Amino acid sequence: MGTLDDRYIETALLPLTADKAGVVGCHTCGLLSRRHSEEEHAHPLCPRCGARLHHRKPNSLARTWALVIAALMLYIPANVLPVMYTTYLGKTKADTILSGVFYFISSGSWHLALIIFVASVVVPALKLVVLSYLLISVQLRSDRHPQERTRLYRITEAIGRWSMVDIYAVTIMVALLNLGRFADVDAGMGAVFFGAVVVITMFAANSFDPRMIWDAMEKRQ
Amino acid sequence: MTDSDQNTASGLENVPRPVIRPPKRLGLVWLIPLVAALVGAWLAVKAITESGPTIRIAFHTAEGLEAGKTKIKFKDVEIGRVESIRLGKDLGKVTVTAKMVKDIEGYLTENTRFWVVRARVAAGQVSGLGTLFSGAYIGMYPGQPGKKANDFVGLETPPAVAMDTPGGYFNLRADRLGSLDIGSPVYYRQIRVGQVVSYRMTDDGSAVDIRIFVNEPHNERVFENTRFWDASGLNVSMGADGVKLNTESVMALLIGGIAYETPDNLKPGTVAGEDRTFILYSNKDQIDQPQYGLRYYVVAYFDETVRGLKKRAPVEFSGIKVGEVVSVRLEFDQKDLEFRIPVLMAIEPDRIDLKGESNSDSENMVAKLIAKGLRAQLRTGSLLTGQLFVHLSMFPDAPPKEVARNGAFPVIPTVPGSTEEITASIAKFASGLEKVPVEQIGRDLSQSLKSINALASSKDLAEAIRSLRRSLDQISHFSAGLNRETAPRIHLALEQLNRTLAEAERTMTATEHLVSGSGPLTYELQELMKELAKAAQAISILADYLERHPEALVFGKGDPQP
Repeated sequence: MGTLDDRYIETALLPLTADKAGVVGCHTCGLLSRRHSEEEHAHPLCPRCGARLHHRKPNSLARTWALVIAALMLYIPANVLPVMYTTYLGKTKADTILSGVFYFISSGSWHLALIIFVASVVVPALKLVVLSYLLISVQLRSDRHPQERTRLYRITEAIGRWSMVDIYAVTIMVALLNLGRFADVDAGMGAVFFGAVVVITMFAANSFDPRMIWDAMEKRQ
Repeated sequence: MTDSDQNTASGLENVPRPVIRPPKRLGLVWLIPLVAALVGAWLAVKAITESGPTIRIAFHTAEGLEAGKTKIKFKDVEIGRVESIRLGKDLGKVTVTAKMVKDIEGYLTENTRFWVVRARVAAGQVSGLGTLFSGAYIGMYPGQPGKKANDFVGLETPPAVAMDTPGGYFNLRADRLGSLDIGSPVYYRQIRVGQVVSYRMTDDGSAVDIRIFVNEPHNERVFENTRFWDASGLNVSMGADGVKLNTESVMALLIGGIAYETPDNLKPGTVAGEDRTFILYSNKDQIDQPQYGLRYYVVAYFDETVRGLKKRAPVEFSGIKVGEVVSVRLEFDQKDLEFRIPVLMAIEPDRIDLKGESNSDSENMVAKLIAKGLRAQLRTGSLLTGQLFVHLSMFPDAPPKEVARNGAFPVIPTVPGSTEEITASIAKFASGLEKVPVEQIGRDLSQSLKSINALASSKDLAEAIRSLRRSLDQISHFSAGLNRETAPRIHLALEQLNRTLAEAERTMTATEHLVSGSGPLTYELQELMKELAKAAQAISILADYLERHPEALVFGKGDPQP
């Protein structure tokens, strides 16, 4: 095995895929089945384990688009509405995600600010941007940098769950601090929307089929 | 080339065909963005429709206010939030911009008032303690309906009385503020019925105007002739009946207060209207004293010390107050090198009931009175404190004086005061003592002693003493005889009487014993009666038997019948 380029050449030289071979691999038990020609209108099941068979994830593009758009729409209230109401000595303060970041910057703990900013602002935004880019590139049948795009997808899928750090922090604070007027933390509507954004983007990443990136390559050839 | 050919070529001819199931649903996933869009749209619509008006309030200072945090409250309900705080153009004011809720939009009129609520400790009440923790907030009172407004000028001090409290406002005019403050209580019959709302100096600086609020229904108890007095502190009065301590309440003792009452000796008059102005008397005693407007000033020069004579000291005529001392000064005549003390007094003629007719004016009247012997005199009002008062009285024996004038005021001549008088009488007494004929008295005394001596040594006296002793002896003898002879007899008689009584008692006891149920006589009587009953029964049986067997009389009682 050599460099990445070598691998690319190898795969290009040996272009036998399940698709080409006219078979479908079962995701659950790995059994290969003959590909049905009318797949668009039917739901094939694995003859061995009964799991759904699909040549590519069904409706992957549409589903991912739907989820990405939903996440984009929810991203606005998630950042505009307050995530957390903190009451300290009777003074109630409503914090959005960004105002929390600014608060930590102004209070000197820039590392905390960085963690929150990355986990809660950058990561969801990045995921949405990356997914949108992947979807557009697949729809345009782009054959550029398929390997980089695949890596982007893997990263997107891997880091998605870390955005929930903020939500966990809020839930733990709400549960722990409950001293009435002296010190109290309440979750705001922003947290709900933010959680929805994270979950929906995770589903969106999951419903995207990275094999579509490579389909374009094969069709070119 | 077909699929099966390919399969054969790749050696996958045994790969089975999948099971086919007809499609079921389509595009449910698009519900998610739809729901997200609906939620987003709902939030947007809510934000737009619920956004109320933005208002600006001008304050002198933004102390305690924070942009984005300070709330605007009415009846403790949040109705808005401060959005920004900016300095005015000339740096004289602070403009607070606030976003109000939509519901309150219709109530923001030109009569609406805003003020900052901070923790406040004043006049016995602590308010806004919650703001120590929560920070200051802006209070609001909608006021009467009026023209719509968006720009307001905030009040610097919060209204002391909630603006919708029923009641009435009154103004009081006082010489000085005393210990009163905003929030000081107002009492009616020692019940707290209101409070001081504000106070200010009159424009000419001669008095203080105090504004009070009296709650309903007590404001209906303020009449035209109601008197208000300063009930602050402790009212100590010392009189013939002892020391009296008076205070409206402990609160008033500590923080001051105002009380009002309609004196019994005055007609209440009509109910006083809102904003009527009353005089605030400095203590309760003053309200009982009628006020005398007319004053007539006179001067008196005293030769003795006026230490203890104070301003407002009473001027009395035979013990009845007719006025007061207005000022006590010291005068020095540079030419004659003489010191004089003019005491200016105000006489209130209304205190004196007039009788008869007179055609002379007051000047002439004074001159006439002085000619008749009217004099002023300093007297000690209290030996304890050395307080002096001016005593006016008629001294017909006083040497006549001419009526002098000191500027505009007639001068009343004086006679030495009580202290001087005492000194003078002691001197007089001493000089009288000197005139006592001590030698003559001594001579007389020795003569008297001599004649007493002679009397004591006379024979008559000895004889009299002897006969007296004899009489006494006889009396003694008689009483001894009486003792010896009569007493035993009395004793005997008493003993006999005693015995008789004992006898009688015994008899009584025996009788009682006999008569009582347990006595032997009763028992015997009972036994006798029983025997008699038995005998009667036997006779009855016999009679019965004889009736049936008359032969028994002849043959005797036979055997019983079978």
